[in-house]
Amino acid sequence: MVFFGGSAAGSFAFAQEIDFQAEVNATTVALGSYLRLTLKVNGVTGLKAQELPELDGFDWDYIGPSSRVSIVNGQQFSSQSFSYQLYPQKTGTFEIPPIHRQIQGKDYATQALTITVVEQKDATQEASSGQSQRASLKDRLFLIVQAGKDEVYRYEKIPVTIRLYVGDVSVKDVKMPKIQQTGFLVDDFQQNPRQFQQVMNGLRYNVVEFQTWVYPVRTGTLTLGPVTAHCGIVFQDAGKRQRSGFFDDSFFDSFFTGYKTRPVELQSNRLNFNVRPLPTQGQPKEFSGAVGKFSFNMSVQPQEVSVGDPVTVRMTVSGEGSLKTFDLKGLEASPDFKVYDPQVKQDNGVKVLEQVLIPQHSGQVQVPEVHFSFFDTEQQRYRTISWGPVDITVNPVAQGRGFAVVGLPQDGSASARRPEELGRDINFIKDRLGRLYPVGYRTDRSPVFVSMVSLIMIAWLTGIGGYLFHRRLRTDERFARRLKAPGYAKFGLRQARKLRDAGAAAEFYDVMFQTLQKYFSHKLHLPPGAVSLQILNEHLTQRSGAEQVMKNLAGIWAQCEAARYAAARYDQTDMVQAYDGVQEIIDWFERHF
Amino acid sequence: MECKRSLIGLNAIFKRGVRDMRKFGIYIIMIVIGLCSGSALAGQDQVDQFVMANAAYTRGDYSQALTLYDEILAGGEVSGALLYNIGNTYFKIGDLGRAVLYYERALRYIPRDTDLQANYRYALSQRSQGLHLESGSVGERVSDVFIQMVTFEELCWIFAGLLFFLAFFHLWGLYRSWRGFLRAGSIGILIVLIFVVVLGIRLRLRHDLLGAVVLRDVPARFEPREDATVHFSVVEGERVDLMKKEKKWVKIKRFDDKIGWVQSHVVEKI
Repeated sequence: MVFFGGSAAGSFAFAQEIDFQAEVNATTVALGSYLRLTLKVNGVTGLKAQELPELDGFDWDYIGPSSRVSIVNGQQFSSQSFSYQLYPQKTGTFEIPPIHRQIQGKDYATQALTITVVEQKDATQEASSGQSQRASLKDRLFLIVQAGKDEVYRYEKIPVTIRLYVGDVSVKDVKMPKIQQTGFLVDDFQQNPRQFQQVMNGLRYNVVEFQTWVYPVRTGTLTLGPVTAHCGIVFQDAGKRQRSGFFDDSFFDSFFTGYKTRPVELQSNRLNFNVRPLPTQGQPKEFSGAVGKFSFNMSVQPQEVSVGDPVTVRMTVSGEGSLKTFDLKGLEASPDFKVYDPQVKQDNGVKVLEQVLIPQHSGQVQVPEVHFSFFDTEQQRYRTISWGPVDITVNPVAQGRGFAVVGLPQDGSASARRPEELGRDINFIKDRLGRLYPVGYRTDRSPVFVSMVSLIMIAWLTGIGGYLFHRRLRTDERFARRLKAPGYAKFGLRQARKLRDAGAAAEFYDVMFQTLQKYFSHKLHLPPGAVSLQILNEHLTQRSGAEQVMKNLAGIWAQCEAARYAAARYDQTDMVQAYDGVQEIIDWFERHF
Repeated sequence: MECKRSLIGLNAIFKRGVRDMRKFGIYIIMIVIGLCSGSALAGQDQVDQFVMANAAYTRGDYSQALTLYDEILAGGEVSGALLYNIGNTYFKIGDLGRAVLYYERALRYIPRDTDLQANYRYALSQRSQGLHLESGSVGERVSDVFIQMVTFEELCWIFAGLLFFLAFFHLWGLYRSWRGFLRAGSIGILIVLIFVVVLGIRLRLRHDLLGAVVLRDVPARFEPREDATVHFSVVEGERVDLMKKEKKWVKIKRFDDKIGWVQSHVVEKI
């Protein structure tokens, strides 16, 4: 998540076409821990989850889907994600192969991912945190600078892109980058830097892209950079707030701030440029350092004036290239015109020269031809644009014409006009009755209004409750497994009943055993292999009535093992009794745990 | 593997459930919008009566117009236009106090009507002490802004709308993991707006419940007795707050917070 301060706010950009990506939350994971794999489909919704292929070195579990739809400039963008948990089975380096999926009749495949599984260093620590080992901060937050070209002419416009990559860290107060720029002119950064997401090496990054242009002012080998950027990394201040009970939820974080920000300075790579001098051959005498591709315009207004009236000459240069590296020269005084100093402005990629000329005598006079030369980097030659000359008709000053006050009528009629006398009265009645209300009606007491407000409040509270529940499902694995346990039991018993009715005793007891194992594994938050009678007995010692349950369980457990390993024969009655017994045991657990 | 399939199946059922809930929600919203309006469309009888009253007004028969307008009111229903026309009729027959009273009542329903605002101001300017619209306290001035801009009904629905958006944005922020400042900013703005609207509702209610108009120029006394000392005087059409009623006397508060007693028949609640 990236927070912005100051002018560094922007908008996200999303891909529109269909693509299929895989990403993981870490590329290194400890044995005994797990990592999350997300398969993301952009451009399509309504897909169902898919099963993963056999993954060498990993067991997996499907977590759930999520979808996202956004509308940008009237265009809809959608994506759907499917999350899986991968449990490493052994140490080493493993590859998650490309995962294929048919979307709208076309085969898409993800990129392969390489995951390293390491030994857990401290079993106690691992058990308490359950977190994957993380990459270093440099892998999660870094700055890259790129340029459009490295062989350039002096004064040539070079697009430069600076990208801030933010992995799974929270960052705020991102400042505009600063470029080490010896030998370069640098434009201001574009407002509203672009934001988007990018997957690199299987890890998803939020990317903030700053765009600017630089112009080398010296020849030879020049180095641009490094670029530095300052931002703050947000981390939770564990010692600041001890959450407990009802407030043990991030929902209240916005009310009880428990975060600290650590400022960091990021440094990018450097860029080297080979800057060539501009060719001297064919260089026009008007050339003053303009390099790129420009258009030049000149206007003269008005073109018919009286002697002494001002004429404005306006020259405009715009285009691709630096406006700072050249000068625009104004017209020089002549016997026809008195010339004022030109005013040069530069704004929004346009350089404008404005100059006032005063005609000195009547008759037909000419504003002389002007030229603008620049070096075209595409065509690698000098080009010159010319305007003019422009004819101006200068009239003599009219006899008797003096100064006039603008806005007053010339015939003096204003003073002769008397103010209009107006009467006053009320406005006329309404001819439409309009909407009728019961006398004494009050909206705040109407059942509709009260119901509406109540409905909103109930929906709000329900939404908050749902969020807290959903969040707990995601973060509290014990809770999530406990919730899933009855579903597994029900599913297993249904299968077992079918096998029982079909008289398949061996399969029946196999399913019964797996059902019990999976149910207790989830109910008591145990690894699947750790479920045994002894463990269950330890959990039941404190409960009243547990002796009988344990006895029944031991009987069924023994039957299952005998059927599975000793090939004991059981008839339909035994299977019915075992089935009912398991149902009773699960009912008892659901009531007491 | 089977369990994974069952989870995927559960997800599909859950999604179908969400879709059904959405449809159900849309139906509920449509029904509620249909019921939202506390008003009724004008019936044909009232419209006929209104047209007849307007015709009487147009030909200058103001007493007949007033009788017909009053008959519509007696039917238990009221509209802004009806109250405006009654105010006009009282103005025409020279009862400035009642004209202002009905204009004040009409402001509850059509506060932004420019004809009403013009006539109300003109009626006030015709009083013996001329136009006086300044309110004494800041609260009353703020109250005037609300009264001249929105009706009580509109304020209530704006409140409900803001509450809905507050809930929506809060939940959206939670589920979409909005950035802290974005969530806090949007929620903060909505809370401030709700606070302003609730303040408006309070002021509007106070105005509606306490407001009264003086029907003719009378002295206000220190005590509810004919021979009590005169404290100040109130003029025809002046808006006052009713504070207490005692037999044939009412305690009133003027715009400058002066409090006195006048006979109850010279003031009428808005």
